Amino acid sequence: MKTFLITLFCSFYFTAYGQSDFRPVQDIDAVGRKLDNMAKSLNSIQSDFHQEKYMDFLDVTLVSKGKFWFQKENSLRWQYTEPYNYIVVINDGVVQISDDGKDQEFQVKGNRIFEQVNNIIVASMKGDVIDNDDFDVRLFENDQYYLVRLKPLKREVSQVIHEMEMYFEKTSLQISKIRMNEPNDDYTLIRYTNRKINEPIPASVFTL
Amino acid sequence: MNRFPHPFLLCSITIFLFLSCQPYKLVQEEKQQSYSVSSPLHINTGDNAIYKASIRLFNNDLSGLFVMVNADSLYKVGFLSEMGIKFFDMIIAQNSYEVVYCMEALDRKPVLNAIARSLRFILEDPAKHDGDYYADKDNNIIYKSDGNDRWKRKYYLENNRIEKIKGRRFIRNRLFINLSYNNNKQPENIIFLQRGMRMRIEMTKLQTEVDSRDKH
Repeated sequence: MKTFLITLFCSFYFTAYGQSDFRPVQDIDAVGRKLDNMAKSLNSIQSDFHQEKYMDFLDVTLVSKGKFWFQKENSLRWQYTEPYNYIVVINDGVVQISDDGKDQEFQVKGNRIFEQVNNIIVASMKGDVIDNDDFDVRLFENDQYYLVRLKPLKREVSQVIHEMEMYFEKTSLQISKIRMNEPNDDYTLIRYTNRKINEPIPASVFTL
Repeated sequence: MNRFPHPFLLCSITIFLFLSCQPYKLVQEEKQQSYSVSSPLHINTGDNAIYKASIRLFNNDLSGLFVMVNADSLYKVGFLSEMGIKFFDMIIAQNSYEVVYCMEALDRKPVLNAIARSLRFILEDPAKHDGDYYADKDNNIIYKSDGNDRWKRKYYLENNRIEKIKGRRFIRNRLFINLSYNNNKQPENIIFLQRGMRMRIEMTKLQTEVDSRDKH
């Protein structure tokens, strides 16, 4: 029975990777160094994003769009422009949210899940996701992407996010898309387009 | 010693009670025949409605999106944050609801009861609860029904649309719902006030790109 289950698991595992053409990275240290070098050279990113939220229970996919800005070390502005206006700014450990003109502010440190999500977003932008003690990290590749799979080790995060998949373009080592799989079959897929790297961003972007 | 109150006092109380009740009975409510009422949200089977919502509950605020799907005789409802983190999924039936998923911090029965009840009032077909139409003194049409869930309902109609709903269960639990329209069949804004729970929900209809067929 045990052998049967292992065989069944392996067949699913390899079928899944066969379909998506991803295989485990052989030289993890080399890829880790590449991503680390990219992270060190990165000072800022500006990009558009396209977000799809699939809800299995409702069989509905919600699409939203917006822009984001990231400035080293930890400044982030995440702005939805469609279908609603919603802005999240994280700067110096303070989160500011503007929801259709209503503003609120709180500390990242007081909110463990927000802190984790913030760490993930910032780490993914910078590319330093390999050395992360909060996740079980696995690295795969195909001809186009490096795929970093992160499984949260902390319960409060794993209740919300089952696994994250981050796709880095092999040519530029920049992040192309992130997929967050939830414990049920829901997921959020974020695609980044029109990226501008290391172009100056006015400080006013990181305030509401 | 006479243990009963003085007869004069009894008479006074009785007259006072009768007179106090009288204005309610005298409101010009005449039974009407030629109206029909249907669910305020008008979601056809298989279709969905999406509303941006903010919930204020005991001075705590929560905002996100309500996605409501008509699954034949049931409604599937999901509530998630603007950034895509799911708060809960539930199935709302005529007299009950079932939580499919709920984030730990929100998983409180009175809270979920209140949210499910509020949504049921706008999702359900009022005609499923036997009731009658009345016209009040201002000629507003009201559909009154005693729900199967012990909640008495009053639906206030204007231009054949439900503009206001009042629900009452015993004395303490009251639910007020105001709906406003903007040339659409579905309300543009909905405000729920639940007195017993100190809960306020504001919902605004969202025009969004939704795909309910293709799985990715």
